[in-house]
Amino acid sequence: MTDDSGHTMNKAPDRPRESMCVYAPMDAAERKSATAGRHTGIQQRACFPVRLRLILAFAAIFVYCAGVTLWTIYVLPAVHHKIRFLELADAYRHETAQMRRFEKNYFLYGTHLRDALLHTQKARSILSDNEADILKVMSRGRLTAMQKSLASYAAGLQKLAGGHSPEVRAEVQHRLRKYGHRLTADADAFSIQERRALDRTFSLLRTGPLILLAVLMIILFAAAWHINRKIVTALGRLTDFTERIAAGDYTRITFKKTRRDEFTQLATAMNQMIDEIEKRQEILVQSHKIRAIGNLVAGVAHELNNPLNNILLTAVSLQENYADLPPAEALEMLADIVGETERSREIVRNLLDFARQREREIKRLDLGEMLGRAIRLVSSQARMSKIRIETCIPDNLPPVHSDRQLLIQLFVNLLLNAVDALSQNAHGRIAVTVDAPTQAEYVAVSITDNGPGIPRRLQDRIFDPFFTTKPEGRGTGLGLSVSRNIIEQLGGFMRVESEVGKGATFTVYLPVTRVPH
Amino acid sequence: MNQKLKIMVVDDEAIVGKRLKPSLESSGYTVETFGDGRSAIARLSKERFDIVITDVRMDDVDGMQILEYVRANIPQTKVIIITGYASVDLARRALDKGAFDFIAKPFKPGDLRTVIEKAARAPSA
Amino acid sequence: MPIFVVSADAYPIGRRIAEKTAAALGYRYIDREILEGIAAKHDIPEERLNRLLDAATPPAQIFKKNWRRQLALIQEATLDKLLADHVVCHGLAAHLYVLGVSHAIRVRIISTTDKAAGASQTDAKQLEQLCRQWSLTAFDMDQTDPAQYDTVIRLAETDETEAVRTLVAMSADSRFRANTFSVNCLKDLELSSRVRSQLLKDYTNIKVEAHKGTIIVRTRVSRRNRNKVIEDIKIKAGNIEGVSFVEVHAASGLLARL
Repeated sequence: MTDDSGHTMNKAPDRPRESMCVYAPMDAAERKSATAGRHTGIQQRACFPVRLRLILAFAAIFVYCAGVTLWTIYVLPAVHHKIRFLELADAYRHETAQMRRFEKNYFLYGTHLRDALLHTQKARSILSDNEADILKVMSRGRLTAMQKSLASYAAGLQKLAGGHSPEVRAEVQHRLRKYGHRLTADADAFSIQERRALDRTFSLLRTGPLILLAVLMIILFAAAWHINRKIVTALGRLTDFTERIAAGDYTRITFKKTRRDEFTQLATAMNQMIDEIEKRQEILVQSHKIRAIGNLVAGVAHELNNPLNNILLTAVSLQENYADLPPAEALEMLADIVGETERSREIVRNLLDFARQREREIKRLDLGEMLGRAIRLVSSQARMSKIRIETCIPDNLPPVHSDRQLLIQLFVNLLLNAVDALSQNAHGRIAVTVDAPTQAEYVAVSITDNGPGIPRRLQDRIFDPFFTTKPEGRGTGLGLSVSRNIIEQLGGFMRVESEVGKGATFTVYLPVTRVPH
Repeated sequence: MNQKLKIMVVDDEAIVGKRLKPSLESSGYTVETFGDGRSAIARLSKERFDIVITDVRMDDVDGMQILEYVRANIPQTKVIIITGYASVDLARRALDKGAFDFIAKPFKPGDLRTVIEKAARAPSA
Repeated sequence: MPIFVVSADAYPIGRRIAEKTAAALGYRYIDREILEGIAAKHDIPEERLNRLLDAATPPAQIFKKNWRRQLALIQEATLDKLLADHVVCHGLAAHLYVLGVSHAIRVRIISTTDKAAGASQTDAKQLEQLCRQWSLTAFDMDQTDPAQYDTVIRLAETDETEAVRTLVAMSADSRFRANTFSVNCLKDLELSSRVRSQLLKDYTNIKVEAHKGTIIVRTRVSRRNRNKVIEDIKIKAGNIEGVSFVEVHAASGLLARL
């Protein structure tokens, strides 16, 4: 049999379809307390909402950008100072070089020292006029040392310009050379060092933005990854969850996170929603049961007419022939009355037993007996429509754990469904068969009718609530939906197999209770 | 009535036949009872009955089939339907097929006797 | 042989057809003439009973008690007349209470056509709605629902002579022959209506079911005088002719349904 639709039509599968997640039947109260426990548990966890996470992520990015901006604001004036200083250093170097040139000319060609002194003065004024700017780059000690050597050089020049004894001249020349050399060396070293520093700063300004960009990218990736992990995966989980609910699995959401956030709130709300849905489903199951009872009552009322007729006929016969009846015959008649009265009581009791509202109670049940009761309940309905119910229920079936009333209601629903399908059929037949492979986890109860069957395109929809093929006003379209609901509550699943014109088979798979040896 | 009326009672409820037989016999009728439709029809094919009283819902051959058989083969025999599943629909169906009367269960033997007398008087269709 | 229960959306047309059918079959004809007897017996102006059957809307709540009782009286009288075979009944709302009787042929005659009497489509709809409402209030039944009838004759498609001929032909249909079951059903209806109209003298909410002399009365009472009411109903109903056993189901509380 090909399977192009959602519902698999293959026969007797060993496992339930995966999306129809099965959970062990749990007592309603137990389940409620379990969820309540989870609810309070999650409420006690520390709250770290997604909103806060987002705020923190954006704040981090902002702080980083602000830091970068501040750094730029801080670095640019420094560069400016360095450039200014380099200008000064160049001017100073120029002056000292000129100074030295004139000094050299004086010693070599005997020229005057005025120009040398002028340049010395200029160099000194450069240092003194721009003291503030220079100090931004250079330490005061160094400046003082430079100024000192410049002053000594100037003093030497002055001395040279004053006295002209050759010893003095040689001694001064020697001193001038020393100071002059130091001065130019200082100026050179100084400007080179600063130029290098400036080059470094420039290269930093060039590569800096790239590094900052890279760091920003890492931060953004981290934030995105975090958001993805926290939000997208959480949403995905919730989506899976809603799909599960749609498939009829009402397992509550469990909380994996250690901290609370908006998603845990949403999950809590969804769990509450499931509680509500389950409550509604319960009401639906109950109200559908009442409808089923309404159907059965009509049949039972008719069915009662037979024993009542027997009682009436017997009683009247007894009344009419009281005087002439041999005692043995009278006794037999009385026994008939008793028997038929008991039969009537049994008919009513079976229905009453089914109708009575009881607390859910999962018990070990004899599947054969439950099926027998359900068949008994619909038998008068079936008789009215002249439908034969054939059963093939093997003895020693594995026990099932279930709620008695729910299980009977499930079978009654399916049987009434079959009876309805056969209402137009002259030779209606319903076969109830139970298949219980010794090692299988499920016992399969099949209810087969030889009615008109269900077209392939409708087979997917028959379990949908409010879907009905009956004319308006007849049937609520909830029978099969409620049945599926019950089966899921019992931890089983259902299959339908049908061919138009040949009837339909509804197979219920119920989990078998295994007794450990 | 020169001759005793022959009546057949068919009902899968054994007590019906058991009680109706003496009750009707005491009124001067010959009564045979059957618990299923098949043997009733077998008997009808051999023996002529004036009135057939039959239940409707029976396994295998039901009262409607007996009615059809009688109307098709022995139209002078009158058929009285007795049923616990009486409804307007079923009554009309039975009458449409030619039943003489339709009685809902439970009934008293007296009620049936009245109908039988009426059937005995009525001209055969 | 059958009885005819004729209901029409226009009284004079229904009356004409029903009367002609009765004449053609030699059946007895029952119509509003019987109101005179009821009026005299229970000292109610005949005019009021007539108006009650004509009115399109049920009366206000405070008049409902009398209205219900008067309807019940009409019902009782009509059913009594119907017990005799060979009857054509029209104009007494019998189609709303002769139910489950296999030899009663329920006929609906629809005379309003789309272009009838200048009434617009919406007017006709509205009238039908009122008609529906009335029958639901009075007898908990929708008289405009064609599924309630054995035959619906639309005069837009056929004429009155043809309609009469159809009904006469139907009378020969063996499906509608009176039988023990259907006669008993009618007797049950008659007895229950008799008990009900009697009880409606003192109680407002009364439903009665009868099965061969066994009467089931359903009513709503306050918890306080429940036992008293049940006793009273048992005595009152028990004294009525044909009643052999009375069972009373008294519902208490606001949400109790009958």
